[in-house]
Amino acid sequence: MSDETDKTTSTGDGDVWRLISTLVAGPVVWGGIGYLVDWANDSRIFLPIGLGFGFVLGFYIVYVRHGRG
Amino acid sequence: MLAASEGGFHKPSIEEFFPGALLFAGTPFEINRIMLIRLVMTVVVAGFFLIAMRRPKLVPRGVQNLGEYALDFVRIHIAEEVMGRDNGRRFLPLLTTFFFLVWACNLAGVIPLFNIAGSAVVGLPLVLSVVTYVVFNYAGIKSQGFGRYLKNQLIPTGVPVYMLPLVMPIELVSTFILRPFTLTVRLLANMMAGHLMLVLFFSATSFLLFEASALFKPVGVLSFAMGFVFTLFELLVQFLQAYIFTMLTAVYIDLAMHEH
Repeated sequence: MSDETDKTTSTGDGDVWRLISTLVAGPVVWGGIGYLVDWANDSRIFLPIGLGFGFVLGFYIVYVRHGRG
Repeated sequence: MLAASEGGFHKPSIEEFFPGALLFAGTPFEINRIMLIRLVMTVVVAGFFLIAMRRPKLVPRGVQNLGEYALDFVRIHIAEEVMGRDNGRRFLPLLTTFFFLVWACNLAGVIPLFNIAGSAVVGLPLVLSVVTYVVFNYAGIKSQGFGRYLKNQLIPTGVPVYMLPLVMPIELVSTFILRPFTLTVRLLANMMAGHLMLVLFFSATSFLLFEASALFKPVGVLSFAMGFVFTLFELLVQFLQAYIFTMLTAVYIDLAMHEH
């Protein structure tokens, strides 16, 4: 029963979940801001701009965190 | 599902998840069917481990064997796998409680007469997510200090200062809002959808076999077969959701305690 593991520290698997969360949060935050700007100005352009901008920023954070080796 | 026998096709609706009060109606301690299921499943889990570990032997036998196997599963495949041996054992009581409580409450969804998961209404997933939220923030602040923890969570290493106003809101939402939100919604939505599917198939089976014209009876048999297949599928989902909920709790605590 007692199958001992010899790992004394974390495996870093959490980084994968953090990466996904960041990629989702980017469009959520900046798309949300774009939506509010659209709502305030009665326009329809800032939501898609915010979504795209947030998506790029999310990728940027992932690249800075994990992509530089 | 019981309502199906009362005549007509009982289509699943949101009312399934808000049954009437059984006890203490109108008070903050109101107990309905789903709350009762949660209490029963909690007692079952607690009872199982009390019996299993009542007189532990060095060489486990019978129920103790099963209990140790269950505990070892969480320890090896979740706690130590994600957090390493030291931290894994430190948070093992919390993770074990989460796993078996969520799994037991999920299982109620396919137990006859219960017929609905204790986690199919937002209360249980939300309370457990709040506990996770408090624990991972507490663990992070305790291991790094408040300022350092906040800095590590909000400022990705290597980002130039002029980019910080753009990326910090993303990290803030990702860490402090999306984590508890997705943890709650993932479990809730899976259990809710599973319940609706089972109600749909078994209500249709009852209606097609016993009330509709003879022409529809073969469809009723098909509906029953699909209900059976989905019950097996639901058993898998119930276990997986308990596993994912507990593993993500371990991941969030681990992320909070380490600098990135």
